Amino acid sequence: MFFIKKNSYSSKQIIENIKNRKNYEKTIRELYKLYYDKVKVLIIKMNGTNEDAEDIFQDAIAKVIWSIDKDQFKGEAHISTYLFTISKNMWLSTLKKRNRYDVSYDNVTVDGKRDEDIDFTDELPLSDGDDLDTKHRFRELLNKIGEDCQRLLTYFYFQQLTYEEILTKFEGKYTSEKFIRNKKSRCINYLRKGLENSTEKISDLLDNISECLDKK
Amino acid sequence: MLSEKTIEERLYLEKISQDVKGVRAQMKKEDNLVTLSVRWSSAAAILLFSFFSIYLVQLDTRSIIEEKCYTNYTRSSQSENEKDPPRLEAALQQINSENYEEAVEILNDLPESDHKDWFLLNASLGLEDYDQVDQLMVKIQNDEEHLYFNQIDNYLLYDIYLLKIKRKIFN
Repeated sequence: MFFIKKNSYSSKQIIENIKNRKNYEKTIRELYKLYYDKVKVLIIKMNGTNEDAEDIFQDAIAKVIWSIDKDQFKGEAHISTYLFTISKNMWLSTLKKRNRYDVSYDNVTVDGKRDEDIDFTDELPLSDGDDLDTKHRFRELLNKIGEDCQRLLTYFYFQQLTYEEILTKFEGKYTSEKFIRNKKSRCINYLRKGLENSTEKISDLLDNISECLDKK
Repeated sequence: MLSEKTIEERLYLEKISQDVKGVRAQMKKEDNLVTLSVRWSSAAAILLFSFFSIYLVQLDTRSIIEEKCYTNYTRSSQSENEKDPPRLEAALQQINSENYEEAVEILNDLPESDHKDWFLLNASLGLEDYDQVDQLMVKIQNDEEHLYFNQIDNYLLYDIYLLKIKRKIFN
């Protein structure tokens, strides 16, 4: 025997590693190694491409991590079930949005096994459903709002800093907490408007609010 | 109207997605490197195997005897008093003419000498009598004073080992 294969993480270990950010990268790799190929087969069976599968699986992992980070994850099913279910649902929503949905897709399963009848809705983000196109649009919007808006939103929502702390992060660029608060609202409004007006061109939308975004 | 909660969730997901994407990009990069190194290793192995095969095919007892036997006799005969030079010479001629059995007959009648060992080794090699070859090589290797001690080098040992493999493969 030339290679000794290391034991895979158990579902419980994966959750603990994510929660404590211990072996975080290794755990994400493990999820890819264990489940990505199955999700890829699932998506391709439902008329998707490799690229769709990559996007979908990336989002499924992100949603599981969100659920664990926010203590919403109940773990009533194996982590693989979460990943498969999130992936399938997201792809079905995408197909519906693109008018390419077929009823037979509902019966497509991983490894031919029947889907577990568990409702994860209250454990996951974006409970009203999510699709790839909206995800891509949001990313595009985010890339256009400017570096300051991105930093501000990351500080506020991801690092959960206070307005006072955020003000110091910008090292005198902005004069008051009030200004930071207003800027955050403008950034959020832009993203909200961008998502709500899905038919409107992002560039036009940006023109409409550029004055607002650049204002210090 | 979309709630701030939804935007917040999307922002959070996007941030994590970027981390996951980074890990995935690294995985793909590593996979490509592994694929590349496997291809290079395979190419190197094929090349090595080809060289080995060519070497094995062209390797024969005659080429070893031609390379080793005559030159050493000529050199040593000039530097050592021989007990029976005419018959040693006759044995050598038989070896050069590929009459190995006759050479062995002549050599077996000769008194013990370093030359006799060496020629006998060459004649046995010609007959592909590897048991005899092994015995004579051990004898020469175990005697540092033997005139042909330095001739049993790694190249000769390796070539004889390959010849044995070749005989197993082709017989």
